[in-house]
Amino acid sequence: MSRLLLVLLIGFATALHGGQRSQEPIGEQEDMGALPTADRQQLEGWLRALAASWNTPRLSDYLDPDLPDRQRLLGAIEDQVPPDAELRILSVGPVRVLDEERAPGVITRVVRVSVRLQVQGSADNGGLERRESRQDLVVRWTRRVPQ
Amino acid sequence: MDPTGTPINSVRLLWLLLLLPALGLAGGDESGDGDWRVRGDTTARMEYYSISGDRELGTYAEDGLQAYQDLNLGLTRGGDGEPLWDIDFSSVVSGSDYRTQDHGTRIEYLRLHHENATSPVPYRVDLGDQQAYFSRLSLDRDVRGARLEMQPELGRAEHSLVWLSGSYRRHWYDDDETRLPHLVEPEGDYHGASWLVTDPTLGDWSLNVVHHDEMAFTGEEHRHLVTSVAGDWGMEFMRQDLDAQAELARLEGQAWSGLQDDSVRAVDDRGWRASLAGEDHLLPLPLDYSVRYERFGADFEPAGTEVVSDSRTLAAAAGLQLTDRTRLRGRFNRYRDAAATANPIRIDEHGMEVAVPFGIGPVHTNHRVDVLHRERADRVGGVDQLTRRATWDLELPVTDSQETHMNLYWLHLDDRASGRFARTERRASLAHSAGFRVGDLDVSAAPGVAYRTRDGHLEQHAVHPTLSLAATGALHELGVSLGYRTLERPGLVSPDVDEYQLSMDWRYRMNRHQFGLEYEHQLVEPHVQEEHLDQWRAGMFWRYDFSGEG
Repeated sequence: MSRLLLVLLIGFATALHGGQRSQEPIGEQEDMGALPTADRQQLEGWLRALAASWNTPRLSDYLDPDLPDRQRLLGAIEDQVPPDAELRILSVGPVRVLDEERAPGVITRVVRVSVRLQVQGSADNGGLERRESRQDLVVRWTRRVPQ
Repeated sequence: MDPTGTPINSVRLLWLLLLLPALGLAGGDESGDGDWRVRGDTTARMEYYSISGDRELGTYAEDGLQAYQDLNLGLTRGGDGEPLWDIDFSSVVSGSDYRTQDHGTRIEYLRLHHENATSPVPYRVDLGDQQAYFSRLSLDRDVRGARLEMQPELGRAEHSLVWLSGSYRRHWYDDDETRLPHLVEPEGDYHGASWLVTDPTLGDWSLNVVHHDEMAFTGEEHRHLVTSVAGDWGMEFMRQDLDAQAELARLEGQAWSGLQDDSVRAVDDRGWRASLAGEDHLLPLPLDYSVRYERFGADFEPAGTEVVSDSRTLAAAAGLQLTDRTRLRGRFNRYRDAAATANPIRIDEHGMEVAVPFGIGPVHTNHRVDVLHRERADRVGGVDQLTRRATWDLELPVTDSQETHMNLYWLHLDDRASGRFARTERRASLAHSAGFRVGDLDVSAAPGVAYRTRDGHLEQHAVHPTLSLAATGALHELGVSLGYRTLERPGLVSPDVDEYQLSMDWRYRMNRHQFGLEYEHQLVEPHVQEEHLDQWRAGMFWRYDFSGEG
């Protein structure tokens, strides 16, 4: 296995936190929340767009600005991943809603989704390489809704 | 992984299907707080993969019938001031190599959550799968276990006391054991306690103590006791809105020595991190800045965290927002790996990003330019690389529903140590998206072309035009995508190829049901080799949402 997969793994081992845990008052949480089907379809489309942005400058638009070692990850991909390498979502597994905030006209959700990924491209030895892995991604997205 | 792609057990599928209407009825009821509220969905997916020719060239590795059905089920009772009970469950019956490592029935997630704010000491209990997190240096791991949290009222500050015991096993999480041994997830047991105090003036402070007992796939065993103190507080100083964080941790225990006769050695080391982020309210323009420093000792690598021992990180950034669409950002990063060894590796990089709008008459464009300078070197001269990179993004909104996007990318890596990895890369892409309405349908078309070339190490050149079309109605969605890629790889043993791709999908939504059909075809023709690749995938799925709110 080359550095290709290693970069992939570093890339998506996203941490939800960068510091210490936070105070979550007991009794204020009413429901764990569910993801409606239409939103799940939107999430799957977004995950495919994220995978397509891997190995392009657009990837930086998708990563949390507060992600520890964000710049180091982008630099490692730039240094180590060959131009023909592609990332693909093979399947989307369980989705958990971690947080949901509703404001007039806007829903912001934080979800944790388990995906199976495949990276394919030239290896260091000049041959082709195709590897799979399972990763958990933490996704925050804001959606405008009609009022 | 079963290479034959055995069909899944249809009896189990049927059992799940029979269960669903009952769940749907329960979910549709108007429930009071004393009743269980149901949420969730199930998806059944069946695909057929056909691969002929040189499999190395294609996208997919497994052929034949690949099918699965998954179930996500949540049950909630109480809440809104009353004791809350919540069960979260996900499982899959899989005969698909693309969904799970092994075929069969698998519980992917199971958690019972209970919290009670009405008891003398409010408490929260989590049993099952959960993310165990105390702080960056003490505990950050997915585990299956138990967590008890209590929030006693002691003075004006808020207190949170947590006890957690959990384990990680590869077969619970469908981990791949065919990777290189050092990349396979380790297994371990984790026990710890955390006391978090939130004070209105002194900020958040926590004391964390965790015992890690972890066994790597290679057989290396680590037993660590980690004690950490972490703080996080916000303040205003000279019209600066500041957020400061710090953590100091000590690791004691046993680590793998690498010696056959005496495999375990005692370790005792420290790590710390500190960061400051702020927003300026002194200048007339919005200015934000941040600086972060991390220093981990040679033996400071707590097993159940993402920390890498023997490393230093200094990261600083600042940004100035000149107008709504004009901004300037600079960054500086310095990393030291294997810092305490005889041959440390240093990475120094600095970069700048400028985003600015530009308009001539009715034509308005948005530009973003990013430049970077990075040096990577070790002490003995085995590694000495200089990377320079520049990108230019251009957005041209033609109308409200049409936009053109262009990106140019240039990278040069100078391998000053050996010259072996030296290379120059150039990439350019041009894409246009247009949306319009045809009858009751929203139609979109997106043609694009990408060009990538690399000279030097692993030389390759590619041209990749694409065209995507989509039509969306009230209940239907239809998408078609075409692609062609010519790929020349003179620097590799892999063949030069021409690739042709077609994919189509259709979705139909009816109340709580969604149906989908998918088709994908890929043809790869090597320039010199005789054997080409011809593969296709046809799939269908059904998803049923039985959540109370639909």
